[in-house]
Amino acid sequence: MAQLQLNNIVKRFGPVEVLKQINLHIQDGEFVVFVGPSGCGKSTLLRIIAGLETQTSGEVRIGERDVSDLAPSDRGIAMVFQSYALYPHLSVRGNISLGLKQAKTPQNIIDERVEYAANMLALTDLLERKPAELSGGQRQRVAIGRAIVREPDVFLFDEPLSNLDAALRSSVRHDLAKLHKNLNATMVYVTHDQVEAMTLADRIVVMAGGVIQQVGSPRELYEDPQNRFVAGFIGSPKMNFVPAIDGPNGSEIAAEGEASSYELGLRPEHLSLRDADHPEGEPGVVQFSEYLGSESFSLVALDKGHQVLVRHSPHEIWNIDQPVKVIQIRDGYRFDRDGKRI
Amino acid sequence: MNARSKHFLAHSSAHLVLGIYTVIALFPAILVVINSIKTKKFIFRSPLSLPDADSLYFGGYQTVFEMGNFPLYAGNSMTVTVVSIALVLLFGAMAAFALTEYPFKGSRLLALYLALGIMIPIRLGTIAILKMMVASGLVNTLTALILVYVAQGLPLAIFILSEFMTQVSSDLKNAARVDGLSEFKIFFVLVLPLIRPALATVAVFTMIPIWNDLWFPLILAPSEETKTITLGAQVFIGQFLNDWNALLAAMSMAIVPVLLLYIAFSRQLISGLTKGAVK
Ligand SMILES: Nc1ncnc2c1ncn2[C@@H]1O[C@H](COP(=O)(O)OP(=O)(O)OP(=O)(O)O)[C@@H](O)[C@H]1O
Ligand SMILES: [Mg+2]
Repeated sequence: MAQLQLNNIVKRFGPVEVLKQINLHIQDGEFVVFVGPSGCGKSTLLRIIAGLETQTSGEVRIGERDVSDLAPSDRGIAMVFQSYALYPHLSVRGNISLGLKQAKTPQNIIDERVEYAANMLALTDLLERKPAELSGGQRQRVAIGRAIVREPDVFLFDEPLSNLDAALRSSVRHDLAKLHKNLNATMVYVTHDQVEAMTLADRIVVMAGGVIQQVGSPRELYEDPQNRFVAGFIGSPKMNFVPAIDGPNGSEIAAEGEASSYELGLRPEHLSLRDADHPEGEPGVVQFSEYLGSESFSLVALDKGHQVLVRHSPHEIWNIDQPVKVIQIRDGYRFDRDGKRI
Repeated sequence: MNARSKHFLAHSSAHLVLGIYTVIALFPAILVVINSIKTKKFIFRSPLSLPDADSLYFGGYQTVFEMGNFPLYAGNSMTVTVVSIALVLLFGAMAAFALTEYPFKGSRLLALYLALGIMIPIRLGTIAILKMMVASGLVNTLTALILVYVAQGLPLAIFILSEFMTQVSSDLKNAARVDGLSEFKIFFVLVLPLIRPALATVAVFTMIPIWNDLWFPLILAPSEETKTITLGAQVFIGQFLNDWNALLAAMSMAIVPVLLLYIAFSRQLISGLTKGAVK
């Protein structure tokens, strides 16, 4: 196990700068998740760490070593791919042990490690099967097993669960969390899925346009986003953004077309609905209401021209076209014109 | 008309078209085989009739084996064809892998240049080729033929194989790199087996023109020891102008080896396809 350090990583594909000065320090044993919109460079960064792509400039350090110029197999990493990428002509055992064989590991150690990994991932009965004879979840577990036996300093995962259906995804996600606890390994994980990011990560790295927007624990990112992008990206459903000005009693929402001095970010759970005759709040009309069992969401068109999504108890029932008042039960986040938090 | 009978109609009309095509394609070959075992009188009197007790005659085959150097010719053809196919597949696949896997400056242009040979017949360069072969002392050797056929087969091979190479999952190759496999092993152990159907396709496309070629054997290797089967059969025409039996027998036998090769490759084609479907 080891720490991982990225210093001033830049990657250009021709004239396009895909990664712009990435600096990141990942602690020994940490589980770090990269999130960001499609095409922001997450996979590229992961592949640079793995050595499958060469950075235009910058340095990758694993442990105490500068690995920038080493081949993938010499970096002490293992990688799990979105498409499983199992060798079709080898059995499960062959798939898991190929890397060790390639490194000329003694046979008794190979057997030992394969058995250990197979036990941990419940693959013992499948060892002699070919990949074609496995289900999607089993294939992904084989791919994870292949990574485990290498006993790498750093595990790299590129959207490992996105090809699985919802039920399998959560079960393999739990396996991964357990694996991290058991091995206490350094792990870097790329995902599109907010739930995976929030539940697995010690720290989340939010990227956009080849730039790291913010690094922090899931709680920090959710409760203390540093810019509008992070505030909008983390959290589902999304934060509401409305233009606002300072009034006598704190922020006041500005009507559409009126001057505003900043943007106010309000999470759906920071708002609440009241009857139209309530003395405070912004008047509006309910557009639609979604009942999700444990909670409900209503979209309200404010008289000032903006739409906001409000989370409320499933026992509150608001009808379409019903006039309501929206009140703030917590202060919102303020963002300046450049999207910076103020 | 209900959907089922519509489906049946579409199905059977497709089969009808394929059936007609098969008959047209096979007709000359079958005619050759049938007439090769008939007496000359019946070949001319009723070329379409099947051989019966009256007309059955194997004299043609006997003549071929006695007079011609037939087994030698067949061996030459087989050597030239098989070695050429092997080299075309090996070098074609290697070039295709390099062009698709390691994009470098000008790799597109190079790929285009290599594909150019598909449109320019190699026979245009016959004189230059002959001069080169004379200069290097390769005239009347099978090596000369093999070299020419490899050059002739490579453009199409590179073109087709590149297309298939790009479809091999890059995750798979990357996983192998992380596991420490060399690029050679990735190519031979992972990529080649996955593009087996493409290799079989290329092999078939390469094989037929080589086997049937008369031009280059006639020009580059007309000596008795290096004659190929097509050239050998041509010689029958000159020597035994009236002995159609021998000619037809030689031609019938020339079909057999190439048919066997084709069957071997098409097996690969089918097993490769179903294997791909499972993964
Ligand atoms: N080989 C390449 N040549 C040129 N451009 C590339 C190459 N690989 C990636 N890119 C570009 O780099 C950018 C980042 O790609 P990357 O795959 O890292 O995105 P990502 O964040 O992983 O996206 P996703 O979430 O969709 O997987 C994209 O705009 C992509 O078009
Ligand atoms: Mg990606």
